[in-house]
Amino acid sequence: MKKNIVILSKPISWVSLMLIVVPPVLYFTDAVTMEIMNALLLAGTLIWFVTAPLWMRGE
Amino acid sequence: MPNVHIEKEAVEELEGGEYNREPVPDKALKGPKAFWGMYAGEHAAGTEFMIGPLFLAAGASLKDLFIGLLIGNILAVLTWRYLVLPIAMKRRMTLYYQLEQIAGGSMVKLYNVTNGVLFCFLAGAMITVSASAVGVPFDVRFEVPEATFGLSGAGFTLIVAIVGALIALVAARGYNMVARFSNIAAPWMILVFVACGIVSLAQMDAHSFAKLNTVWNDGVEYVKLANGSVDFGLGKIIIFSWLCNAAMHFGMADLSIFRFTKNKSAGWAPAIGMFLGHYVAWICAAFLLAALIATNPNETLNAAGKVQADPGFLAWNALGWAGIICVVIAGWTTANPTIYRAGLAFQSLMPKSAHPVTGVVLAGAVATIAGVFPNLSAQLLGFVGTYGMILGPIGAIIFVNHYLAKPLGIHEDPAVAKKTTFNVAVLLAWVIPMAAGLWLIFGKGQFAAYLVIPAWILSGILYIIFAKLMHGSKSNSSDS
Repeated sequence: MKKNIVILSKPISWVSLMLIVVPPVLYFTDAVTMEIMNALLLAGTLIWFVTAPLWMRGE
Repeated sequence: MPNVHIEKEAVEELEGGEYNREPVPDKALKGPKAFWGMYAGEHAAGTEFMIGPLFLAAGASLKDLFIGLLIGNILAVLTWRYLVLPIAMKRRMTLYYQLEQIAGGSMVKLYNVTNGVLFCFLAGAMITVSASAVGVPFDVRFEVPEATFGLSGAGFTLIVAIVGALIALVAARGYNMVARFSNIAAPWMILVFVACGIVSLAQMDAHSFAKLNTVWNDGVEYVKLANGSVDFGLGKIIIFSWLCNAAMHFGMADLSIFRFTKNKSAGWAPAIGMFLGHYVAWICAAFLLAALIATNPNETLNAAGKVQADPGFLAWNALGWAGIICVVIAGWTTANPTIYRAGLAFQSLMPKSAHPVTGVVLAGAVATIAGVFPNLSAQLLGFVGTYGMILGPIGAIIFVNHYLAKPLGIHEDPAVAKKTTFNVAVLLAWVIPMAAGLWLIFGKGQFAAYLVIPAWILSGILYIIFAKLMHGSKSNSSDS
């Protein structure tokens, strides 16, 4: 069970980092508003700090 | 900081870690990957949020910034590779142990405490940075007063006191937890800096370099109008970015890191830290101020009508809550190990009966007091140069001892040879250039980073002279 959580958490962490970079690019191209971008950035931040410690411990 | 970073090995040295009093054995050597990984996270920290905007506030042109940082960072990497790495690989000892063999144990304590005091000021600046972000949700703004030791508003001072106390409390609980958290935060933090840059470009409506350049130049003009004449040209940028980590390369602090390397290619690893932290992060952080000036210039002014860099508000303006979280974490993860390291240095002066966290609490208190004066963090460009000018010369003494002692006939590792714990030749060779440098900086207003290399060279020459005068030449002393 614990091993599965670790295996799952890694790709989720990397996706959360995408949420830090992609929304600003979309904001730059006028594809999203600042409010949406800020919400996505916050979501990416929270997901990173929840999931990254699960797999970074052993690396 | 300049990125004044703190290496795990330096902390282990003070705590009595592995291989700190012997050369690192072959079995403990590490491949280059470990060094690239370590440096990648080392130089994107709280200081970057402060230093980046200060380039604009100091009047640097965008072209000078791009070119100057490129050249300066290349020079810094070359200094690590060709000055620090060869000595580290040859001797495989920490800076502290090498210095002890040259200068004696008591002299190392003096170096450590000096380092500790400087660390407290750096940590103070980082407490200010974190507090600037904590204050945003409470509508408490960071205000830089005119006087160096002037206070900001009462609300901000209270936030600094609370943040400083919390950071000191966590530091007193040890180093590992924060180091681990810092490692977890590093990849995210670098991307947040990139996000700051992209969002700032959007806010400036800068879809071409020409437009960006125009907005930046308008920003510089606005700063000049508000703050008076400012000048931070190409030469200054090159020297600053080369020498902001002088304590680590010219000062040889990173001997403690590179002593573990298996091969020379690890000497290029600081490049990743330099170009992520001192190029991408600085430029992106600078864009934050340019964007705020372009969109809402009144928000950049303090009560006296001067442009100031308020890292918390700048990040909030671009990224909202994620920006606030990043500035708080960046400041905290820089301040925390810095206070811990300074605390260990102070602890080394205390009697054995003193409580084990007394040093850390003292360092936390000094850092918090420094943090309540926002002008200290606003003068970070000068502080970083001063830091390098004070600690850099120690590296010259190690350089002379390693390369020139034998050819010049002076004692190699004289503290061991003479069985002394305090080598006065080292003290004088260190203190004379430092005192001259401090006089030029504080008495004559000289830009501190300019003095790092002259102080380094002078220190090396003085060490040769004093070593010859005080210890005699090696052949004479052998004869006698």
